Amino acid sequence: MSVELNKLNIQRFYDEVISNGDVSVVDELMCAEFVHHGDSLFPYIGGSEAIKQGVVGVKSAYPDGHTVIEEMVADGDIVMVRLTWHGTHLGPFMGKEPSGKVHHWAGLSTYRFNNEGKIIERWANMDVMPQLMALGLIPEMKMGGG
Amino acid sequence: MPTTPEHNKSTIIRFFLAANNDQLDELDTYMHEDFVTHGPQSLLPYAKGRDLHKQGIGGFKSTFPDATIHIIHIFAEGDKVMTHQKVVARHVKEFLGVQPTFKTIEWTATQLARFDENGIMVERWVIEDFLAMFQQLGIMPTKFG
Repeated sequence: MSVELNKLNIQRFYDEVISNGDVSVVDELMCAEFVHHGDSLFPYIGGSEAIKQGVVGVKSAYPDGHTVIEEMVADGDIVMVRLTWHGTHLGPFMGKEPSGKVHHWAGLSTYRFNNEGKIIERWANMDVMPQLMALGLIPEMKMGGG
Repeated sequence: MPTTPEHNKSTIIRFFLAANNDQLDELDTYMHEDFVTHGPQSLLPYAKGRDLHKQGIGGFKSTFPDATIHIIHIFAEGDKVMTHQKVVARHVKEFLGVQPTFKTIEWTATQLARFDENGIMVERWVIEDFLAMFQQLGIMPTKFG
């Protein structure tokens, strides 16, 4: 188990799979039985095949969609990523026609690696409300001010 | 004496416990005077200052008096501590115009906290699943697209 190698593989996951859309790399980085524990929008994803489908789906709506890794923290078999995702809405997404606008959100994702150095589990909190508001799927709201 | 990742982890645990137990003055000992939180972009993207944080936590607890943070994961590397946690609270007071439902609501959050060499929290990024909270209170839709 190498913390530095785990971090490198997370970087590869975001660069090659998420940003370049190269799903052929998924099997190298991730176990087939990978599980994602998410938040209200995507609470559960079971299996690396579902991840591949998700990547293809997002890429068709946001061809230039990409993740910027702001920082990584690693400890034992865990790598946690602070990230931002950006993409131009050029294809239908969640029932909304393309707007041509740039959407973005911040995320904090915690990855667990197995003994073979493959990603086996993830817990994600993604601040997608700005994207949902931009898509017109939820109302604008402000919580501040008393 | 410089802090250690283990010491920083225990500070985070104590910080959450103090928040859970409404020990707001104890929070002072863990936060830098200029403590910064980078929060949800659409709601509270930036908050700076220990007093502001105490007010914010106090305000949240006055609306959700039994809100409890449960740590699911806690890890550390260098000057950073990350946590993945769950907040559980009963909706017993009016919130964002919604009258008390007395339901128990819960949502997850992830936090990345940065410490100075003295083991004081200076900055953090936190993302809470407020969408889940709002859905449970009926403020936001549960189906999209």
